[in-house]
Amino acid sequence: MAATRARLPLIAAGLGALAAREARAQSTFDVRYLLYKESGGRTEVANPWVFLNQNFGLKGGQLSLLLGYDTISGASPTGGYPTLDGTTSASGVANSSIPLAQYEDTRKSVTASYAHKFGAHLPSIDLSYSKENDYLARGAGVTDAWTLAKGRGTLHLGVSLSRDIVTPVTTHVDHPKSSNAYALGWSWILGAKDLLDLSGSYTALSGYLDDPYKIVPVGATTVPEHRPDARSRYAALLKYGHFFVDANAALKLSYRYYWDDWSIRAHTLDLLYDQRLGSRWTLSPSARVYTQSHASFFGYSFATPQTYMSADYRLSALHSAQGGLTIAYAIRPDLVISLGATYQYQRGIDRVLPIAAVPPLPASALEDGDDGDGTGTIETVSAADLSILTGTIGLTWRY
Amino acid sequence: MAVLSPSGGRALYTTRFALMGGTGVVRFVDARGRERATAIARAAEAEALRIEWKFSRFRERSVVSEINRNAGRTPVAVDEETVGLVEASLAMARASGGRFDPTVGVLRRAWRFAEARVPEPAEIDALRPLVDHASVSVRDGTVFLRRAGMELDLGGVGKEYAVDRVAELLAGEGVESALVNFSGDVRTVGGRGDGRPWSIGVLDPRARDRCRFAVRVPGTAGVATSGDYERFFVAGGVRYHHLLDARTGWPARGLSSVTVVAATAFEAGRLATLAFLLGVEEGRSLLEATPWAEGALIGEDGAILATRGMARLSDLPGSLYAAYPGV
Repeated sequence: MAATRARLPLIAAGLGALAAREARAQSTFDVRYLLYKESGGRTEVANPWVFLNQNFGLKGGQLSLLLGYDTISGASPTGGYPTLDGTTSASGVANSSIPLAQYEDTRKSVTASYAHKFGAHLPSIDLSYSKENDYLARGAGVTDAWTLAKGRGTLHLGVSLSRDIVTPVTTHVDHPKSSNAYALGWSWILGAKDLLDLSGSYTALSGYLDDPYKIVPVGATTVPEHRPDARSRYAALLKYGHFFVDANAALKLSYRYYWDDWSIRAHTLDLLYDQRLGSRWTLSPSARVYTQSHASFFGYSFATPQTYMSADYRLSALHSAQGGLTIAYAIRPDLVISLGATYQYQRGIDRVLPIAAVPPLPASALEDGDDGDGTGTIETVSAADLSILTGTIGLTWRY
Repeated sequence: MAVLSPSGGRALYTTRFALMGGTGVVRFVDARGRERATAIARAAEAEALRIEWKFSRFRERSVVSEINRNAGRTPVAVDEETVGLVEASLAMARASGGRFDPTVGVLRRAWRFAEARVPEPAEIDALRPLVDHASVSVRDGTVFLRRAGMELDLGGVGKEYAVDRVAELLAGEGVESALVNFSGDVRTVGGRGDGRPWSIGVLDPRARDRCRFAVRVPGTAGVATSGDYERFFVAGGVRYHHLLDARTGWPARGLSSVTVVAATAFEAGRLATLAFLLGVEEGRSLLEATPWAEGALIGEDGAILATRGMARLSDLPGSLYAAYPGV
């Protein structure tokens, strides 16, 4: 759940920013359906949403509204160490090794924002609300885009607050959680074809930051995971955009460095290319590589209890690569249909032996191999080993 | 074969191969180098495949196919190993009061599970004369099915036998720690090597991507499971599965899964099958009355019943232990 929770607001945030930038554009109405599917019978999300961006002109400002309804189902790693040496059954279902727990949830969300231009400033406010079986999120934000340097630069400022309540379905106890985020950015138009954007953000999280469904093996038993009740997250982002006039194409390149006081460091490199073909088609291939280090209190198992312990793979060291393609077609000048898909391959860097018949093995002593006679291999495993497929179909109407 | 080699020389080897319509996995720890381990792994696989080719009714040239072709015609000369297996299956039939029968396979002509069709009682009744372990004659190194059309099926015992043979081969090669798992029938050899017991998950018969609980065995043991989910269909809200009561020709009722821990996989498999066919109460009584075995039964309603000694061999009472995605 948390994975999608983290991802979906980003979409909303991205739309908010987009809405703000297109303040002088016409109104749009978007309908989109996103399918998200992890390999191995893990999480699946079906996410239809509608987005309305109503422009009331220079004096009236602009109102946008995003409504989403996610259906989340599948299985999620429990954090348990794969301790089974095998399974006994009547039919011999092969076993891999990461303990999973089934879950289902739905998430209803609404985000509304309003922006109005005042001279060189384009301030906006937004309010958001979302509800899952076990999670309630309420957020509010204020941003300003301040045009400077005779229109060649824009200073972005933003504050976003969220007051959430986590109510695990296992205990029905409410736990508050809050998030205060601050962002500062500078966009610079370089000549007619280039755009450079430098921004940074700081997010202070506090309250209940555990994942209530994750466990940690400690000694011969397992206990619920426990994380610190505060987290400071920082991110720096450098974006560069270039417009190829002759080719009628745009390239967007970005690099993001992330760090937090849980010791996670992450690098993201993103590439997006938009190619217009004639007046109707747009082809947008994209690629992303990502790597992160683990949190200081991450471990697959602990010999003795520690204050903070988690075996959640999202706090482990992992890397991933993603490729995607979106094709958009303008049925009419004001009506665009788009189809997109991405494929992401993720692999854990922190790995564990599925069985520990040999006492502590250094990971470096690992040698996998297949001697070519059709026998399989034993491999270390990681709950982060995943491939993720997404598909999107959308319709945009400008009026 | 894959190897995990620690600096000390002891390494964990795993080999995996297709066997009897499923997967065979052999894992063992050895300190004598990769070459030696490769030879042991190859020998283990060869032994498992030898047993499949020799005893599978699906293999044209198996001794079982030979016996079946000659049903009602002539006794077939067989070796000691075959006599041993046939006699073991006949002893099992007698011990079950006829519920288990190595000639029950002929009912497959009426029970076509892939078609999900409930047979007419008359179809079953027409075949029942061919289900008769008392008409299997084992004499002077020959096996003879007295009635034409009868079929012998050692599938009920052959897989567990193969598991034990491979485990014994590993022990004979000086391997001190190993786990043999052929499609859910398990035998351990020695301890795990780290002081912890072997941990074998018991599949949830109604959610086959997870385990209901785990069985823990400290040293050499056999663990086997009989369940109603291997071949089945549901018609009119009723589950029809392949574990047929040979006396009636219809699926045994009351249980969805029985797991037994015994000294060998063969013994565990034998008791799991018998307990399944006997049903909840009699099945548990059988396991409780068998001093060298422990077991847990999962009813059709999902309730778990275990023998008293199972308490020290499992993490029951059965909270959902873990879920396992298919590979």
